[in-house]
Amino acid sequence: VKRGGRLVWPVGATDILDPYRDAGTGLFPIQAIYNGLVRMRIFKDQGVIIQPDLAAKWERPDPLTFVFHLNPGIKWQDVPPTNGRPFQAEDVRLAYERMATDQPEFTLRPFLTTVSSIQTPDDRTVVFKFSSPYGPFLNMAADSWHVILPRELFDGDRAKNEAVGTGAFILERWERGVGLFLRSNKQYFKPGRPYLDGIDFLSLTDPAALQAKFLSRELDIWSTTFQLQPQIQARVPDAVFHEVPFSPYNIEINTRKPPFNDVRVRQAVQLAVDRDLIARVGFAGHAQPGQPFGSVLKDYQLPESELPKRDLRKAKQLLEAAGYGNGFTVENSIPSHWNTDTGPEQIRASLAEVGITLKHKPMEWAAWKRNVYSAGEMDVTTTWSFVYANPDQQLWIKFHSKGGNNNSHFSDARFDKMLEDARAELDPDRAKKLYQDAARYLLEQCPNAWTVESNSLFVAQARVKNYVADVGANANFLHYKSVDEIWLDR
Amino acid sequence: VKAYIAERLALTILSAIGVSILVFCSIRLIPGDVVDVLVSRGGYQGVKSKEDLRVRLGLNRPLAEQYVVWVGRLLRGDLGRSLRTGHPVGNDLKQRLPVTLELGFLAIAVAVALGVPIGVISAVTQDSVIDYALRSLTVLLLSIPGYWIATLVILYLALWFSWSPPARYAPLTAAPVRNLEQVLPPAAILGATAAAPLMRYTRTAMLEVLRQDYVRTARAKGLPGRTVLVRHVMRNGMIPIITVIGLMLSLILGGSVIFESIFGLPGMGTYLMNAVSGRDYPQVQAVVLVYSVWVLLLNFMIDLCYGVIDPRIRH
Repeated sequence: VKRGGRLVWPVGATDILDPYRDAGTGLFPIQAIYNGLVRMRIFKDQGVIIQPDLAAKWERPDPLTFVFHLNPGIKWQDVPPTNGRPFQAEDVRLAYERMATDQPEFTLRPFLTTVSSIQTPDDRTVVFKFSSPYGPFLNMAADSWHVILPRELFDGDRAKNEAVGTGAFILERWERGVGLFLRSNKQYFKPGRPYLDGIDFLSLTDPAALQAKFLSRELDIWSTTFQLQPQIQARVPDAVFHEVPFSPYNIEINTRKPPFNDVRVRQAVQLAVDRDLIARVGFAGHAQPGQPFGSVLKDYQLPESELPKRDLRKAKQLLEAAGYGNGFTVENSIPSHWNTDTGPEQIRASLAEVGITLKHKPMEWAAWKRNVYSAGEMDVTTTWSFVYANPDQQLWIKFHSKGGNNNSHFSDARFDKMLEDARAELDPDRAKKLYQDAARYLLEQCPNAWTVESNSLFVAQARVKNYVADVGANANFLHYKSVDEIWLDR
Repeated sequence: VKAYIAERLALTILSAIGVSILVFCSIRLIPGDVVDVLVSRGGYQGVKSKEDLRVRLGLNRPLAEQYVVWVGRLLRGDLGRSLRTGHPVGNDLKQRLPVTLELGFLAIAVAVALGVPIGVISAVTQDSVIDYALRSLTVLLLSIPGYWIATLVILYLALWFSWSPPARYAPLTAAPVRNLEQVLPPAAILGATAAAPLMRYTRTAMLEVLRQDYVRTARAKGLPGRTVLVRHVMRNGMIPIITVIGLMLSLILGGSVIFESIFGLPGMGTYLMNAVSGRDYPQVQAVVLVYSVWVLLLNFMIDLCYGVIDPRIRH
């Protein structure tokens, strides 16, 4: 291991830094500044791994209690406003209370409602008490949002514009529109870490500029595309590529609106979709069959033999039985800047074979977010599904009748009960079975038609050592947590 | 002269008021608002908390009341705070405006340095090989979008020379050399594409004046060609050219959005783009207002220039 050097990593335009209030790309750099109670990594060959972070150990003494034992000697960074004060259990309690606030803008509350109290019997012990069991709590505590912020930043909008944590790097300067510049925290509680002197998280967004800067070796790590891979290999032969699954690409269907209020029509859509065409043409072969759980939750995925296969004859029969034997026309509402060649066009072509005419309806981004993504005012929308390393969040948000992003308007008492039972199950094997049953039920009811799960490609200069892209890294940002492990061989 | 200036100034102020109303209403008329953007993650928020947020941000008040509040603050020099970040918009603009102005002025300098001489040369060598060559160059520059040239330039610099402009922006006052390394390439491209229409306007204006009786008279008097060109032809042909340069500066400010994004410059263009997609009303209003006032002031100054160049206009 060599010490020193600055890592240069583009993160896009950053507006705010508060993870409790949907920081967007601000979530990337703050992973280097803050810590969670535990840390999650998801490696392709190992699946979800929960590692110690602020907490050294944890236990669940009974179904309604979760105890974290904090590492000794942790201090907040020695910059205002925390000025190096000791980190204590009380900080965790206050942070989680802040996460669970019902104030507008705060987004983490729905999955903390089962936490009835947080107790701190001493400075190094945090006890979470639950009103009802919540199985996937540890996964949630380890994600990129549930990191611990200091109480000093809770006043007004302070946490949006400042970031001071317990992490390996200190925010030295935030030049808006240029980037965030971090220096190493000499008092970091993990011995010998970090190895880097600092990190430049640059606010670069233009694809050509990013490409040029990687080719001229100015950037260290970059989320690139498969189309550019041969050119990068030719120009930077020692570059290291990391291909990891990204997120399931779905047809989100408005189950309230005819003709999709008839389950047979939704099933027909699912049977008509040509997954092979989408994977081969839309994603240049870098995709696998989609299903309710993505590769992030590999352990919960259904075997490929259980996934729907293309069956045009059966799809036509279902349409005829539903009274749509002559087909119908529907609109696919998608943001106007999305490329229709990667997914929507192949879906349009495959549905046309059973008489369903899909018309793409491009919408301005904010309008799409409001009318389609949030309100579900659509026929269908073809989109990537948000991926969570928590099976409860993955299914509840989109498909529970009280789910915050149930834009398919799927309301099914049986499914709700399945999820409620699953989240309360603490035995991992039984919980897995319950979640898989829920996934099977979704494949029957088809509030979405799952098409494929596409992959992302990251590339790093050869000098970057110990960097591993996590599964779903473009959606869960977990690889930014690894910056305290990365070193540069200059 | 005073009456002329007062009349122009009054028109400018009236236009500014009109623009402020237009800016304020237009951003609110498009679908989607900042509340949807603020609570977009997983769509966790229910209708109630969205309404709470609208109340907190003052977006539930009647439009007219919101406008009066905004103008009131504006008159006190307060451009408001970003709805997303809570950051004062005035502070943001203080950082970003110089970047865009530097890019704009450098681009105009390049455009004038290329466009005017080429236009004059083309006019005085009308229908010669030089004229055809220069006109072909102009058509070429007019036909190719500037952002495409910019993309090629940034990529080929990296491919051929393993060089790209520095990634971290440096202000002109802090690190002039690094600043120019970053700003000169986009300014040169933006200026070269803007030079094409300027060249065509200059050529047309020059040709029109070259055919005037007073030019023939000047030549007949035996004045040297250079004197005829500079004192009689160029001065009389400058009015339309100055108009075009003025309009061009406002177009260049608008066109800087893409160039700032490609070259990683933290200017007004990228700021406006993010503000529009985030429906951050105070940010959008402030940027569009600054642009509008800038254009109005330019027009005002152009009007004054007309008077200086052509005394007949003053009278």
